[in-house]
Amino acid sequence: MKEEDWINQIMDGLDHLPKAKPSPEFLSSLESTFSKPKVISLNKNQRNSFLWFAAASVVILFLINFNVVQSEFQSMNNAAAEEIISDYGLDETSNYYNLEYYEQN
Amino acid sequence: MTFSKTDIENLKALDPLAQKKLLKCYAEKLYNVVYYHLQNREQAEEITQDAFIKIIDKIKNFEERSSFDTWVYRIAVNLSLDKIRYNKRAKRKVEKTPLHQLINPLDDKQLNPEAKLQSDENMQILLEAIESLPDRQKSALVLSKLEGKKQSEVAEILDLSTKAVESLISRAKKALKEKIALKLKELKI
Repeated sequence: MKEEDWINQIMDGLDHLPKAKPSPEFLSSLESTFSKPKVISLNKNQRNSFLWFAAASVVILFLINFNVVQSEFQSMNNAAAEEIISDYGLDETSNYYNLEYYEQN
Repeated sequence: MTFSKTDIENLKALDPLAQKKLLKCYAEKLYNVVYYHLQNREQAEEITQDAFIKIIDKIKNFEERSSFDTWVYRIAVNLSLDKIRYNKRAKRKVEKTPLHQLINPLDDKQLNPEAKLQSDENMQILLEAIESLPDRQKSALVLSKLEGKKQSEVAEILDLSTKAVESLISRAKKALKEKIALKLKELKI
């Protein structure tokens, strides 16, 4: 066969190029990729508002927590101070310097 | 099976049934086009999946300035060309998946084993020649010959004029003949 005829015979193949078929495994993995539950995506403005709200919530919670902790600490300190006062007889009712005694005497 | 305007609206609303129909209508077609660009099974699967992800992601921006069909093919072709350029930049040697591994044997109508063998060899030479074409020529030829697209449709997909597509296909055929002639000389036929 002449070379030109051979080339033309090969070029005829352009009119019936075979189709490449994807494997059934690939097709089912493709289907399962798109049948997963969708994550709702926020647009930029919604996302920014959400972030601000989240940040503000964190700050508020922190401040509330801080107040609670601080007041707990305060009351703990007060309780401890009262114990010391009563242990050492330093409460308001006791006259440590016993001034009246010294004045009398 | 066609993808109607209602299907497009449902797809924009992320309707799972519309997504399923999209895959049914286009999975094999896009895979075919992508494979002919890349000639590697794994990369063809990767790019086909990427194409569908992009279609579903961008559908809300689809304004029907072109037909849906054109838009879908354009995404697949552009991703394929991007992958080819990436492989070249990365100097990646991509192993070709022979087409006979991907063809459905029921499609093969050749009964005579000798004729089949010759046909397979001829087809292999042709496929190698197609693969070595410049990107735009390859895209134009694949869309025209493989997918049976009219030149006007190919022009829309590739964002070119019809005359430019005509010229591309003509240059592609000329280049194919030259490459085939070289290959035959190598095989000493």
